[in-house]
Amino acid sequence: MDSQPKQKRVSPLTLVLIIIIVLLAAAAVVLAVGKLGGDEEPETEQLGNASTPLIGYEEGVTVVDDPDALQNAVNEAYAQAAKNGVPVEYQNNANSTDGKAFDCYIANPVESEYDIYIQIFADVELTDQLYLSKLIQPGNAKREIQLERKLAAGNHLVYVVYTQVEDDHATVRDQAIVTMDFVVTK
Amino acid sequence: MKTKRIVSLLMAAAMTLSVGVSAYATSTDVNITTSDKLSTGGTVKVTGETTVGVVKVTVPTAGKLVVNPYSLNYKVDDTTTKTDQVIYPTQYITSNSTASLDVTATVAGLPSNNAKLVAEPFDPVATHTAGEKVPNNLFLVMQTKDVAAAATPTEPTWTAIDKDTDITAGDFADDGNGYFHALVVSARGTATKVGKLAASADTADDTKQTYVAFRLAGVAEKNPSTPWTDKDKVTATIAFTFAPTKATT
Repeated sequence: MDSQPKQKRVSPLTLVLIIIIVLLAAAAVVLAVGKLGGDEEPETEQLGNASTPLIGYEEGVTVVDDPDALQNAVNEAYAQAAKNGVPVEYQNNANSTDGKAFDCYIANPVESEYDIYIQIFADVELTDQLYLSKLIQPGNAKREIQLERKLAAGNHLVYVVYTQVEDDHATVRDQAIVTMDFVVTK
Repeated sequence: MKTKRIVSLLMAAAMTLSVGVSAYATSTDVNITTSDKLSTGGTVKVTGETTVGVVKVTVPTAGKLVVNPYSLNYKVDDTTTKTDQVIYPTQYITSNSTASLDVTATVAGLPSNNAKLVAEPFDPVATHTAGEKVPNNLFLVMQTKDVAAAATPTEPTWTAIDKDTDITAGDFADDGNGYFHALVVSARGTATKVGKLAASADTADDTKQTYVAFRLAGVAEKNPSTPWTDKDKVTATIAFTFAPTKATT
């Protein structure tokens, strides 16, 4: 007589399923380890000591923490500062009796190397334009101008923008803003 | 003899006439030819001309402001390494005017993205508590100084701007060291004096040019909650006024 217990048989299908499950589990482990181990750069980088907040890298950051980019920006700033400025020549007061036609003296100095045009604004934000000139060559001046709108009687502080243009008359080279007093007496 | 006397009389008359003519420039009124008529009245019309001072200056080109919040090293020449958080090379207004000019100015700043202009100095490396919301603050000051005549201006020794800078919001003011300074914030102040351009002794001589120097300086938050990016900028607009210096009596 047989006394040994019968062994349970694993069906082939079950075996395949077990193998698949094991393989999937192994793959999951590999993926998890890969993420932690990392070729991928960490999202944040700890700087300084524990009391220093984490500084994360935003998309597009290149300049601020890049020493080379900083030096380039500094070189550019110094080169810009060394450029010749905008020579201006004018009399502080312009006068009118009707608020629109003004006697003035606004010149492009003879020593200037560029043609200019003049804009005059009523506000320092340069949104309320009163006047726009045509090109003025070096050594020439405006002695009379007609504003785009009338100014009321009284003293008006206006903002005069000198814009230098390159020889192509289309490229702005530089600008300077000065103020003038426009006086309307009626 | 008689001829000689007539000639003498004619010469005397001519001299009188010439003196009479030089006594007045143009006139359509009573001709005054003798001193007795001057004393009793008569009018002299004088054509006058008033010369109004012409402002003749060179305003610097638009400057470039660089913010270096992490105090990285940079060089300004082959030997000098700096770590300033706000970098703005000194610029100069140059005068070639025959009159002395008072210079007034206003300045206003426009921050963009996360950058914020503040009115109080602060310690850029102050410790913050965990979870504290720390803005991208920028404390910005404009400084000015008169510079003596020379062919090339000598850069002033600027007062450092740091957490201890004593400045109140408002217009340009003397900083107590012979310089003027003003906060650069969004609101523009009233035009106040920032310097004086002495009259040029010889407008044809570059060595007689006079200057007002200016620069921007400040501090930036080193550890903001939102890291600095190149989109965090400030632009500043400076408007200058030049007026002939009023004579004091």
